[in-house]
Amino acid sequence: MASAGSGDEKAAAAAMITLISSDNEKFEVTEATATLSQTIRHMIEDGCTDGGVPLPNVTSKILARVIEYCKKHATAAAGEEGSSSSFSDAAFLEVDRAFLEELEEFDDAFLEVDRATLFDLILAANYLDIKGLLNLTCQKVADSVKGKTPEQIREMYNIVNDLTPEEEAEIRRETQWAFE
Amino acid sequence: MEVQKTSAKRNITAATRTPELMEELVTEILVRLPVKSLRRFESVCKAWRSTISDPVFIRAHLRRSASNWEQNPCFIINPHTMEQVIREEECWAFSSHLCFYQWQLRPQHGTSSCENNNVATFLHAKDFDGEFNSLAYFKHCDGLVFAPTDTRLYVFNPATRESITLPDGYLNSLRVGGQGCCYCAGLGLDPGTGKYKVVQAFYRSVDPDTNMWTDMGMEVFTIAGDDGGVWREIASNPPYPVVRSQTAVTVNGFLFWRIAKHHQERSRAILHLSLEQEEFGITRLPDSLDPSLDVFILDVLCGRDLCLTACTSVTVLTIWTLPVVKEGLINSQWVRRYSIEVMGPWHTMSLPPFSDGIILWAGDTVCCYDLATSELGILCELHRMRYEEAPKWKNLFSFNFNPFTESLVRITS
Repeated sequence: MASAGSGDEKAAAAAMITLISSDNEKFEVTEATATLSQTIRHMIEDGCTDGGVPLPNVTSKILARVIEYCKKHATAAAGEEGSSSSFSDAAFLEVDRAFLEELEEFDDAFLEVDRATLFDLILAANYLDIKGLLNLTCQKVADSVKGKTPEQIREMYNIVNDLTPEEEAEIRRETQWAFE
Repeated sequence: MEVQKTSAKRNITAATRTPELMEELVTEILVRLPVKSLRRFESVCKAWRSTISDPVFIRAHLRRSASNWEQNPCFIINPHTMEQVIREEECWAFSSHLCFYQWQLRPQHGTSSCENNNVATFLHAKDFDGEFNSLAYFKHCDGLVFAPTDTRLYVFNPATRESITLPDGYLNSLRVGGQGCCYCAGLGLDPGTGKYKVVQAFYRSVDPDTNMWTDMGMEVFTIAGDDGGVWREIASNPPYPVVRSQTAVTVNGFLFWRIAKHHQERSRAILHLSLEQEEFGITRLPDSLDPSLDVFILDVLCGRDLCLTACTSVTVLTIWTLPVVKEGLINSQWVRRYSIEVMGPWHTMSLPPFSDGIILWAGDTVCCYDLATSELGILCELHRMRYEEAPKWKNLFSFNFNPFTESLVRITS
């Protein structure tokens, strides 16, 4: 890994940030990629990224995936910015649509992970404050529980039913239609 | 119960860390669920139940529902049939069986016709056993549908299948009716208290010379309020009387009414009421609009903009929008958005970028005006729509058609 901020390389490396996972693996990413995370953006603004950004809550396995997501979405964002100034509205909409379709495909493939990984991604997205990734992953979980019964939910997520039988019967009466 | 919960938590091994995630981010996931799933999940456990019924959660869910609307505009349809009834005498009346259907606007990718966009899904139905004979325009606000009739005012949350019948007005009794009765009401949010209010107009006096009803006042009813559900007179009076039969349009804590015709020509304005301060004011009409000649209709777009659609000539429809912010209307300016070659009065239901073209509704037709080709194409004909689980309509007569964002907003206390 190149050591950011040393002598001659400083100018070239100025736009690079080093992220350090909980298992001490270093990832070098561009500032544009890193700042998709509001948490990291604030660190950069406060000037505390020299020597790398330690992320004690994120493993290298998950961080690699998060960076993959940010790279793709940072490119897309840059592409949109570039096109908005130089295209007519109609052309811009076309470019916009192509980007969106490509991103959608990427996101779908990105979500092809097991449940444990998906939850780790949610925690990382929450900790790093990456809105797009948090939305994507939470929506995936929401879609997977949408049609389930309360019993299935409790089983899936080890939730203890602490409602009394009377309370449960009353709620059931009020919401009977939602079970149809 | 508490002991049991703690011990269950302790048993969780590294392989099943999921409950911790659920505790930390449970709201993040729940807020993305549809109303029906959320009502069902109220019986998962106490914590889920209290989250789902928390007013802060309900507002967050509503905000998400509204931003989903901007991606996928969605509408609520009420098909109204006529029935032959025998009361004092035999006559025709609107069916008092009110039905709510949801319809999703699909993006138009050039080739689509109304054929693949003509299914409406069932939301809710309720029978009112002949309580009313006729209906006014229904209006939508935050997942609630306000349904004024000739005898009663109703509020529905079709997504949670709740409905309430408002008590008879204190100063304007629809059930007594008669010449001095106003069929002029509206529903909106008071952003100060987070409560929804219904406001209806009444006449204070009759002019002995002209026999015309003048001097209008308004009364307010707070839904699920702490005042025991009574109508209360608004202290100030509207500066001009409003059109006697109309349903107010609500945008961001304000209600808007069309002013009675002769006053409107003089004032060149519409009336507004701030639901938080309960103070009236007037909003000037766009300068280029001639209220003595031009027929205009008010709608709300995305819950943020008041939209005015006017026939500015026989063949031209002009659409203006007025952004309405919570802070008030002082700095709001009308923006002329489109002038298009379309005949007749239409309601504007959606504008780009939220839909591919300008979505217009009138009677039983929903159209899309394509800005690239300047053509008006039919998106769906409401009487030909396939209504899921619907009875075979007899004497289908008219429709109410509104934007719809499903919500958990409670209307019962």
